[in-house]
Amino acid sequence: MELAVKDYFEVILREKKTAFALFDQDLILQEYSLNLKQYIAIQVKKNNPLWDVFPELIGSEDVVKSVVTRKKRRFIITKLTRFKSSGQSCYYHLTILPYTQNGYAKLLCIVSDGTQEVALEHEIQQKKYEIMLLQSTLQRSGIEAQSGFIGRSAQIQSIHEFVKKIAPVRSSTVLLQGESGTGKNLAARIIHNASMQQGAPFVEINCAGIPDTLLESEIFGYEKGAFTHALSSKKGLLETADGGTLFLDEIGELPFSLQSKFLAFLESKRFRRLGDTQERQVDVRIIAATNKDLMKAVQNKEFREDLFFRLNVINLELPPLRELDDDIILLAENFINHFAYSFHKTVSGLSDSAIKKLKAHRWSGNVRELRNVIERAVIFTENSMLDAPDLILIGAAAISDSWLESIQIPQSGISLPELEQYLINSAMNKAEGNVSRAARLLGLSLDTLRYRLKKGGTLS
Amino acid sequence: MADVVTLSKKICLLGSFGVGKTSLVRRFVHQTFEENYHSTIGVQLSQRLIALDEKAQFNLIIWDLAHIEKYDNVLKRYLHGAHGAILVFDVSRPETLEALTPMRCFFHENSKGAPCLAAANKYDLLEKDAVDFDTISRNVEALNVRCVYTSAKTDHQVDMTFRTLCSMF
Ligand SMILES: Nc1nc2c(ncn2[C@@H]2O[C@H](COP(=O)(O)OP(=O)(O)O)[C@@H](O)[C@H]2O)c(=O)[nH]1
Ligand SMILES: [Mg+2]
Repeated sequence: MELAVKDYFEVILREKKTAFALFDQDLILQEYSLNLKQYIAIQVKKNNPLWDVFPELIGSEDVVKSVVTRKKRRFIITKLTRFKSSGQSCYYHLTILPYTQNGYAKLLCIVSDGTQEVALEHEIQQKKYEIMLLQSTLQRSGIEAQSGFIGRSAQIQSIHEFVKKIAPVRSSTVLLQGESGTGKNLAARIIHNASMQQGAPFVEINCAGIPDTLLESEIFGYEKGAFTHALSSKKGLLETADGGTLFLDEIGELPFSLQSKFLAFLESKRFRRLGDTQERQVDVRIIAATNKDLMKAVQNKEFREDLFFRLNVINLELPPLRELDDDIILLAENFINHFAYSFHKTVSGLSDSAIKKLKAHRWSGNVRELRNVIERAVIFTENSMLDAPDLILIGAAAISDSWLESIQIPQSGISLPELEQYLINSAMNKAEGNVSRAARLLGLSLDTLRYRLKKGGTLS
Repeated sequence: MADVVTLSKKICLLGSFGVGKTSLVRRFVHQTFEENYHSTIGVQLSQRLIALDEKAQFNLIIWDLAHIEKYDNVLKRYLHGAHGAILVFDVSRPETLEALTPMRCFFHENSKGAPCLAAANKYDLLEKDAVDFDTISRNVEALNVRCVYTSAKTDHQVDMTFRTLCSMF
């Protein structure tokens, strides 16, 4: 059996994901394809006014009129969707064209499907914005509670005292020392926030892993033609941070060749861009951080002594997490609140066994490690309170009391250095000579173990 | 009822991503709230009737616009003929208030004289975060529009916001 011509159209239009509606001169619906309602999500009937069928044209009466009268050839609105409280929404593009039938001017509205095209864009955008939203939540809670440094322990209190004291002395250079993950970056921000006006720039750079020449041009900037690829001139970070703070992380990695240039800047607050003859002056507070023992680097002639003393005028030591006692729990609770809020979970607090587990852990990754452990736990837990099994701790298990008690010191006494050497050697054996793995087994930092190995003559 | 006059008005919601434009519309039109974030692409159209008095009502055509990244012809076409706009920002993200200045200007240029209102959304977060009221009010002042504190989550002044805009037509 043959299909009527009109039915053919319906099939073609459905197949091509396009719908149409034809309105007469008075903008009353005359004809439309059956698939129209799929897009506009409302029932339509013949004789419906244009504005009911396409409320998106309300406000554009002038444009519609110029299209009907052929003053305008077409009008397109892209990526439209109608709010549906349930179900998948589909997107469409609306094109309106003039049309003449039997000598009458009419309006032809074409609806073409844009769902697939938009779906891809949506997926990308959704991810991007989710990340940005999350970042700003994190940032906010950083500012809000000055978190990371909440705590009642003497060490944390003294950090607060310290920040209060040095904040007003804007010209002073500050050196932050501490294991990685102890929050040196956060401390730098807090000092910055406490001492600068709102909106003052906080610029940071990590000196590790950037090639020497690049680091120099990053910090000091360059003039056009200073080197082969310097096609235009560029401000350095010192200039970008003018009026604010420049935070140099891992200052211990600052190449020896750059150290004297940087020292000269610290002394005079003046510098030159690469390839420039003009001296520039900036008003910048320098905060430097390191997880290296700089004093030792000085002894090893890797770090200039004069620069060390210049940086070390004001020095803050950030304690490792394992020395913070009950503050570990306070911090953990703070992170729980924070992540529960970000991930829309109703988790609050820690069970007794979870508390025990947190206190017994070594936390070689410090606050950063704690934060990651809590984040993961909040995401995956099904409980309303975090329990010990929710907390996935990596690395060394804490030494249990019973194991410690089993060690008996003989009447004749022992040699602690020998015992230490024995433990180090067995860790090295277990780690098959891999120093960083052995360090993890012993709960030591890599530098500390290297130092002890040298002392014991194992490492040259 | 037969002689109730219906006035159709096109209202655009403008603001950075994630400030709660879609949530405000969802609350206003469907009386619901969603915690999960679904970003909007292009324009999402909603409609609601608001009674003005016994004789007249507004048919609000609400244009929930995606985050504006470019001030181009596409946006111009979206805003064409708008009768009013609600500029939405998130009280917990000050940068979203700053972002409203260029949006306000662009809207003003493209729909001369149409009234504008600012919605300081996520008001429910204000107690939690130490948001600085003074800074907000100072920046809103600079924007030179009326501002209503709203929460799509707790349904704080959502209806009021749309009605206030209607009163400005
Ligand atoms: N606490 C709170 N969250 C809100 C409020 N309004 C929206 N949200 C949340 O903010 C996120 C973004 O909202 P959405 O309406 O999609 O923002 P849009 O991008 O401006 O349309 C979602 O996760 C919402 O649940 C509010 O008033 N209070
Ligand atoms: Mg949206």
